[in-house]
Amino acid sequence: MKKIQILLLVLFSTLCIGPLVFLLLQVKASSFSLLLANDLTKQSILGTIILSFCVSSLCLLIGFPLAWLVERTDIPISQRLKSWLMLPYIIPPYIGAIAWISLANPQSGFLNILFGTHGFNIYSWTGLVFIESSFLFTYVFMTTASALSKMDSSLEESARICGANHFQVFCHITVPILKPALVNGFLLVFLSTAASFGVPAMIGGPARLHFITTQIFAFQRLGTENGLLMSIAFSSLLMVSSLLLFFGLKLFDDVQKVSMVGGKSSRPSLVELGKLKVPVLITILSFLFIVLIMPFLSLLFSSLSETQGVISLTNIGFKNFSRILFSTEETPRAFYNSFLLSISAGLVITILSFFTAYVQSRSDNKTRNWIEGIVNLPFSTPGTILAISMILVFSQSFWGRWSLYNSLGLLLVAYILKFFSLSLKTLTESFSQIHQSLEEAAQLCGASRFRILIDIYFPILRPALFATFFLIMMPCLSELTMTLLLSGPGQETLGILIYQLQEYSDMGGGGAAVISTLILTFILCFNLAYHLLQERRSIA
Amino acid sequence: MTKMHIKLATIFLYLLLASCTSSKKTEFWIYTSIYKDTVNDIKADLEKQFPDVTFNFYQAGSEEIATKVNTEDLAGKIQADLLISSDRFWYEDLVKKEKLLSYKPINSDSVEDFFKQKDGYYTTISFPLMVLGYNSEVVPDKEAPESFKDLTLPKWKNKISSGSPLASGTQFTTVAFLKEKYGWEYFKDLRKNEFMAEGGNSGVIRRLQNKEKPVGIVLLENILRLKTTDQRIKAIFPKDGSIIQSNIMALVKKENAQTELGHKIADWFLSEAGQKHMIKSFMYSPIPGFANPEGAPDFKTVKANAKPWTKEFIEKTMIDREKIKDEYSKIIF
Repeated sequence: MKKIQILLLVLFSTLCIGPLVFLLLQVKASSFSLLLANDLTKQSILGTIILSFCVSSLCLLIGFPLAWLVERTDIPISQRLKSWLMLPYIIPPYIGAIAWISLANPQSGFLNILFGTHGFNIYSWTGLVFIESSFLFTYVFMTTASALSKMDSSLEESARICGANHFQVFCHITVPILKPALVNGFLLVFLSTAASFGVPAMIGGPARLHFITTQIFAFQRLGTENGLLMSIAFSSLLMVSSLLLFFGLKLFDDVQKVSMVGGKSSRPSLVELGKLKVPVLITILSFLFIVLIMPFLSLLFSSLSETQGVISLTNIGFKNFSRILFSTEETPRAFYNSFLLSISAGLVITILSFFTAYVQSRSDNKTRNWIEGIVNLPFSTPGTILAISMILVFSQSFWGRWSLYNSLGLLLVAYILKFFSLSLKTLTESFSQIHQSLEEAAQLCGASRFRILIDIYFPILRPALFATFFLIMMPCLSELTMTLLLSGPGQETLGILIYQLQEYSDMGGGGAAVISTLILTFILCFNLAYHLLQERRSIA
Repeated sequence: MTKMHIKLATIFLYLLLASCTSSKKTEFWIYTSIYKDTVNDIKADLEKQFPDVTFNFYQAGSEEIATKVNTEDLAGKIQADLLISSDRFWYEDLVKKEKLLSYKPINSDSVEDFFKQKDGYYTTISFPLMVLGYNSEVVPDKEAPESFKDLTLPKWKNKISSGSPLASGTQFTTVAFLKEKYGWEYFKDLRKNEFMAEGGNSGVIRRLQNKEKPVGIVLLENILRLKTTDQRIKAIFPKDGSIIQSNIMALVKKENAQTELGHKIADWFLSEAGQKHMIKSFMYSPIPGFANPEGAPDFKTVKANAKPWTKEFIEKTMIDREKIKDEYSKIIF
């Protein structure tokens, strides 16, 4: 196992660190001095730390209670709530930003018109933290809900038998056991916020708020070699900080890993909410209305408005849909490319991380931490910088005709590198919760490791693998920041199409809203169909 | 499981091979900031004209194209064969770095000297025009601003926007001109008016239409495209001079450059067939004798009132390009 782990370490080091090191070699010392002399550098570092901390904390405050409510209480329609609460993860945050600009821009936002005020201002710290959190809370929600669903409930029940009340069980049993999942969720949100670009640019830009990623973008757009080198230097600082943060947290994470899934599991006893059941349900539904339905309605309205900005029934029609679906050459290509890339990335990452996570969960901590840290690098690196490093490596002449530059293959490699750590984290967590006694029993019966993986772990982890596939596929479906620089001609994706329609190519307006509405409708229909299928299965 | 693995591996390999396989036709890469609908028309015509060539277009904002080309150059290989975008100062930089091929396309002798590089490293193929736009449903015609300078008046607080010079070449050129005329104080005053600079010119139009910012600094072609669909959006030709932009075309100097083909394609862009597309896209032709874009005033009238390009201005802006963007960012962002 040790040998395989070392091999994996070498493989991931080459794939994840190689391009980034190649990129760093281009940086000159003078770029750092220029960078540090720039007034906006400090401001953007501070802005990023504050934003990431605020968003992570808020996500923890939202995601953890929601996960506990749907997994450990008798709240009605808990399974439906769970699946609805996961939806914001699938929706690209920049689509949310487009919707919220229509809803709450201070001059002509629908909410301001509705309430006759200018009080709703999305271009603010509050607006930015709100939008980021309304999407990223799903990271905490998913990691915590997954851990709660796999947690051996006999631990809680034992505490109750010993006389502990619900609050004491929650504080002394549930929270400590969930600590790794919570730390992981917090870390994922922190790093995702620090590396996010779309929302900080669209919301933070007009609010004059500066962040590392937007400043990196600004340096790149200086249009000079110097600017490009400064942006690379800045992103190297972000990479190093992310790495330090990652290992720092690992160092302080003194919680012993607990095996939460035994060979025999019992159905957890649920906490009764009593009179609070209805108010809590209404609160969750209102939350979903704000983070999901309101942005969707806003996009739907924009997509149906034949002339943008005119609020009248006569202005409603399907002209924008007809233009984008039937008269825009790129639309079918964008759908095809996006689905091809996202499904391929989902499959490759899920299979690769299934085997890697097994090796990880059965290996020593030191190498495991190194692998985790290394695969985490591309995830915490801003998409634009990762894209530049990929261009630098893959456009070199030594690749000859095998050069992936300006091909869908390069986009696929970029997606795999960027999102692999998400999948690996989720599956390693899942593996670590399965007690080794199952494997040992199989070994005693003479099963090989491969057989154990296929016959023991694969059936147990099938739901987790399925979830991981969608966890990867959905963000890939409409990824924007890397795709913008890496896509070649004829390689439009849905993200690129939305961006181009929003900023450059759609003179009539409403085109970006059409594609966004279609993506959201697809997501909602998919969710509904999946849920109906599950219900039918349980009836059967 | 094994069958599934084989299927997945096959799909993956197919994807990689399909994406790596090159076509037998000669490939020609054009990086351009021209709008997508015009690119589609141009591509169809070019493919008719050159049936043995596959035309690959990369379409993005001028500054995005600059970033992509700079990055490719850093890697040692620029993919583009032909560049068409609107940040003239970047092209001056490329000439200085010896990244462009010298060629004077047929008809380029009709382009005024001032709008082409003297040694033939680049030439203007069309003139977009930067003007002011407003939403007449929010701003009555009589109250509309009359000049760029007017935008600093307190009555326009929270009402004005433009594209970002970090994304759009035409917006950068506008910033360079306005800075030259009014100095940085002008932008500090705009900042006091909560001026918003975001995205490209389409972003400005979107904000005009949805009334988020009912006045904007925007290209005339974006307004003219709305003439039949949204007549609320109107153009103003500023009294302190509209800003003539240069849509530049240049051939890239590189190993295995398809020089002869490049020359023919460059010729095509300045031919009648190529210029028709520019005019249809509501840009003026740099070659005398072509019609004005539909709905646009006569180019001579526009030029008479426009801010003049001077050699000193180009040289100074090229040197200060980074500084201008940096200073602008500090003031506006």
